[in-house]
Amino acid sequence: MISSPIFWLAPPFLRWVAYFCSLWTLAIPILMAQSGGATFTEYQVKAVFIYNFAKFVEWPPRDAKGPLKIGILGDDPFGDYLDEVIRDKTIRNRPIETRHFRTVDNLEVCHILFISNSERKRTPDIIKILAGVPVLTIGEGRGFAEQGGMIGLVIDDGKVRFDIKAKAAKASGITVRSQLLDLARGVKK
Amino acid sequence: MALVLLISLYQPQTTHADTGKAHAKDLADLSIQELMEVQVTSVSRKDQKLSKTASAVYAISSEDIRRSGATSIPEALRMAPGVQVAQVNASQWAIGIRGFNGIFSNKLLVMVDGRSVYNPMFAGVFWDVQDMLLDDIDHIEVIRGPGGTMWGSNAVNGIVNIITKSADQTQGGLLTTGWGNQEGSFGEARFGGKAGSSAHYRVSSKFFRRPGQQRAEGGRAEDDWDMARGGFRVDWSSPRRDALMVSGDIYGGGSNLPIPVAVLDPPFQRRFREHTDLSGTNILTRWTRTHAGGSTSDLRVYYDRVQREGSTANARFIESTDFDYQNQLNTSSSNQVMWGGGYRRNRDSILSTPFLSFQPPSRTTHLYQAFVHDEMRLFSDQLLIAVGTKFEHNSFTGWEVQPSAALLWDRGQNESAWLSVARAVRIPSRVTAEAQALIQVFPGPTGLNRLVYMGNPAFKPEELISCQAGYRVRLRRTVSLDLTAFYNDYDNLETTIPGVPFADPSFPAAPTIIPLIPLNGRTGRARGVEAASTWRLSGSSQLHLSYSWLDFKLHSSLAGVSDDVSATEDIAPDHQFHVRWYHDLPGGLQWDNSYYFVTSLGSLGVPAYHRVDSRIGWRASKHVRFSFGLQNALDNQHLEAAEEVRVLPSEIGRSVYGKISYDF
Repeated sequence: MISSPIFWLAPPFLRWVAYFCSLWTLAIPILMAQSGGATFTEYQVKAVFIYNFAKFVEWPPRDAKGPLKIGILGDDPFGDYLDEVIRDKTIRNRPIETRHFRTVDNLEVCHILFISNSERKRTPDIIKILAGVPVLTIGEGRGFAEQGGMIGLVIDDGKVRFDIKAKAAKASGITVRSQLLDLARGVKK
Repeated sequence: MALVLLISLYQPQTTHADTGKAHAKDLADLSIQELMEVQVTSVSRKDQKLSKTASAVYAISSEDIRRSGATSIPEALRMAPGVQVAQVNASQWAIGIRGFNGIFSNKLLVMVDGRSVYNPMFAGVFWDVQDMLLDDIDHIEVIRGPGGTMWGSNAVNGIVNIITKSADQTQGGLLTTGWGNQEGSFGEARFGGKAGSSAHYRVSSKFFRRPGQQRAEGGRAEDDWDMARGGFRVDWSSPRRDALMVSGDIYGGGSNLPIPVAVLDPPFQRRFREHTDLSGTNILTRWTRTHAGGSTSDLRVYYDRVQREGSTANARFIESTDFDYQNQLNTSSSNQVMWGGGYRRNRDSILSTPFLSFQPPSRTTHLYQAFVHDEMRLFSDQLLIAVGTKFEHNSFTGWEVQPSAALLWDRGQNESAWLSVARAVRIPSRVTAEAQALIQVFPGPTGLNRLVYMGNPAFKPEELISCQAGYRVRLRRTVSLDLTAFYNDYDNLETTIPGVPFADPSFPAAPTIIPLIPLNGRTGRARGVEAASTWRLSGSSQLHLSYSWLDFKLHSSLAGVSDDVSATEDIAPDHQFHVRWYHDLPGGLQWDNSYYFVTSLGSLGVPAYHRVDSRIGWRASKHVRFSFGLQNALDNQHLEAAEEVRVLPSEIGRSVYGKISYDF
């Protein structure tokens, strides 16, 4: 519109109005895109966090081959989100896969275990079962790290933050890189 | 109507779902630092838990409360489907679920963290003193339908559970202040901290002074009121098994209400400005122990005291002491048993006035109860069968049994369907059994007559057998729909019938008393449909829709007496429709709008009304937030509730307010 010769032939006032209107038509999609992209659902973001944690964590070389397994214990809050995030992704050349658990049997096969809020009441028992086993336990709420879990995801002012219990991770043979510790909201020794 | 809207909105949804997917992919490429700056909305978690229950549950989240612009708990309840909320005047609300709503809705049980605030003396909830910092509320669970098996008597038509945030969720400081034409001046302060390594606490306080609503003919209705309160909560948890919570409140204030009172001179009724001093205190402790294998034990003890001292009605105190124990056992991976029991002591003392007295003026009543409830999961968790019953003994009618059975077909996160049948009772209160209240004075052949409500000690419980069916579905993860239909069959419902007049020589000015006696004189049925739907239009825009239909048919079961049932049938609107739209704008702005349509109350002379509420919230910096609310935007003032005994409704005016919050 601005490049058309009619535009430049119009009187200054009209030109100004047209210019103003076209600016707005340009601005609307930008604003829409911004507002649409600025907010995600909690579990979309938490799913990406879990994938990112895997990049900053090293497991003892027990089975350095085969896929990296992310377990979800209890009700799955992610739906397809987590699967979408890890699709076609690798970590240190290992593909990633997810598994669902209802009971505490066989949890040790996981590298990462997300303990759903549905299991909140038995979280201490689960942590106890996994004591000394190199499984990175991730849970939700401020109490999770205090209960002995390794990474607790919390929502703070509408943003996802995390607490790390470095001692628990170390005790089970997992190394958490300092870059991740630096970003944690709280690090418990 | 809701269905038409659903269909018309369905089309644009496809594009939003697609863009949502594209964004999720982009999100996966962000670093942790970038992720930490992403604003998230949480809607899924509570939806999921609720989709697993075989009852009509709706959760009002703290976000809903904030974004609706509601300034009180009753106003927040407007958001739930199947709930009738009518503001009567500045300090009174008539709230019911599936009908029978009035100042005292005696078939609706309301609890705050498990503490019953249903007043056992007056059989209803004093909404004017059910308050707290709205930001201290985690969520409000609204359950339509009977809950006698779990919660005991008076949970007949529904239950409202107000759940407060644990102290660790309210750490740091918060100061809020503001002003509005209807809200008056108000302020809130809160501070939360940590005590030792495993305990958190908070102290909150709040005050307001509201100038009152409008008279129909214009001008203030003189129903101004004020309240100040303080509260605390401490949460302590041991690393493995125990959690202890202690919370308490203390409040004081006063309300003015213009009420119609009977007088001895023509026209025998006068508008009287009743002032009531309101105060109260309560303390609650809850101890939860988690055993190996996931079983839990829960012990709850509370004390609650309410004082309402007015010039024509004066309750010096009404107090309850309650002990409650519950045990939840996972007997196998597919079976869960809950059982428990409790005892409650209610004690009250009333100062007799010519308008309201009790015989005896002071009384202690006892309530003891036990329940058992079993949940079985069959066919690889897809089918859930729940059966249970409550046995309860009260001081007025003895033993009551309230069983229930439910079936849930659980198709994972996206679909579930349920059926339930339950019995519930509303037991008589001190008012129904033992009160005397002067209703009216009018001339007769032998001098002045007094129409006096006289409690009936032989009043039996009101009974309900309710059948419900529900269906929930989630479509493409952005749209959810929740449908419920119910059929309620009532028996022994209360009606008040004039009895045989008698002479009262002790009061020669009006020597004849015509007693008005509560009797179990009605049967009837109610049926209805409720629909609620949530649409996540995009990451920044959410739409909530709800529709409720209610149809009442009552009959008198008393021979030879004329009993007009229409006032009770018409007290709840037949249709209610509600849309709520939340929108996040760039720059930390939120713009939220609500629309309500409520049909007329038939013979009671309350016309249908439309209501629009709007709110703008702005997070100006990390610490400072502003919000502006406009409520009842469509008209200067309108009537929402019908006249009741001792109640003169005001018209509800347009409200504008602004507030500023500082958190640190």
